[in-house]
Amino acid sequence: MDNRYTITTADTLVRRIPKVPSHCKIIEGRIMATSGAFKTNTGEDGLSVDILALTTLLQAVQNPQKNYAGLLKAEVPMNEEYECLHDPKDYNQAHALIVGNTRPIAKKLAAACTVQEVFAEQS
Amino acid sequence: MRLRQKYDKPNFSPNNNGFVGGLTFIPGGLDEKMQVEVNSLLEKITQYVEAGESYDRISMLLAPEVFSWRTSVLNYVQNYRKDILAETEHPLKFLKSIQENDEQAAEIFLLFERAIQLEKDIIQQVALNQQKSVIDVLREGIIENTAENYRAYIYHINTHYKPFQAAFLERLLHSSLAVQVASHLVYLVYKKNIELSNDARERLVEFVSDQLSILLGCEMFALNMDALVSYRSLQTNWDGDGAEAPTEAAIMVGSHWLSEANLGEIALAGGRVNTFPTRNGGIQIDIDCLENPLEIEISPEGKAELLQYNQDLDIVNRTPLQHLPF
Repeated sequence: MDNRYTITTADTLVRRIPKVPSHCKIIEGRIMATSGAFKTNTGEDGLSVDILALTTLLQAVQNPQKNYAGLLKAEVPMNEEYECLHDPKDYNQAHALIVGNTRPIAKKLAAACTVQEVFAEQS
Repeated sequence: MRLRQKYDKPNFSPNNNGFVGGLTFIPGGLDEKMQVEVNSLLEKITQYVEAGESYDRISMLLAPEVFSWRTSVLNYVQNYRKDILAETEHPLKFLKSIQENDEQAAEIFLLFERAIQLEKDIIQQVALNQQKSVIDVLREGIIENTAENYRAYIYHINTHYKPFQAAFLERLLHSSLAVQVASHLVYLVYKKNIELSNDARERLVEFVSDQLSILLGCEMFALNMDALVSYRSLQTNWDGDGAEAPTEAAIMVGSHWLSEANLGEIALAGGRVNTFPTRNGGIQIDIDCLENPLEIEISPEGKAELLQYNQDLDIVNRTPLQHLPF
């Protein structure tokens, strides 16, 4: 039986945004991630994210000293007709993929993403 | 206007503008005694260059002469300032004169430009003499009329952008001082509700804009170049997710396009330029202008592509980068 979680438009996905080197910029007073943080690499099946409903921000960012949490509504890629699939790994049960080459929508994902600092005591 | 930065050590061969090894001379602006000192200095510099001495070594060898030259120039500038003050008497009177006489306004602007040029010379001389960076000299307040806010600004630049200060110092210094003078004028005009003729107003605004454009462009250039250089120290897996380290080819191409871009104009229009490493070992330059954003994607092999977006952030054009649209 498949225990995969079904991602809906109401779900929030978390993408790790590196702090160093910075992948953020300030545009009109708002901290934004660069689209580069949302572009798949050659040979990748999709963009790795975590499903917030299955994890915590702290687990998702892995190392809060090194990464911000990029919070993204699943409806953003889904409205662009990208499939979001739960893709659990042994080391990360919350892992998911925005399936396919995300380069064409990377700028939209970055613009819709909220960059959040995560603190060690935050859950 | 293009912003081009120089990374080389100063060239000791005098060019048409009288620029030699960090010493800028004002054509027709020196008295006879100073001109003799300058010629003597030039002769010695030429000898040392021909003997294969380094820039640093020449600076040390010539320190006494430069000190003497500096004193002469300082005296010259102090007298020059007196002349300017005598001519203008008071800033308000000066501004009224602009209003009344555009021809005189042009002369006054010229005077200010020359005064700024002289300030620049002094600072360079002091730096050369004391074996310090020009910014350090400014920061220490050796030039008495360098305003506090500019010291703070220069300090900020020095703290954050030191690796590239030499590259943009020439423009930065000139424009920061020019902006200082010009912005003070603008402040007075608006604060005191002084009416300027359209022509004078346009010229004032144009002057400030030009200088500000250079200043902001330099800052943006330094910021991005520092980022680019820092990417050289990135190792494979820098993102903890298998990212490749940026290649030297990508970094060099990124540096090329940054120096080609008219960053000052972008900054003046409220735009931002940011440089990032990409996960495949390339570089990405984001250009967020007021209208539609642009991106330059540089592959690990050093091939650059320009991506143009519409306001909905759809890619509307993707082309190999040959010329920048700004």
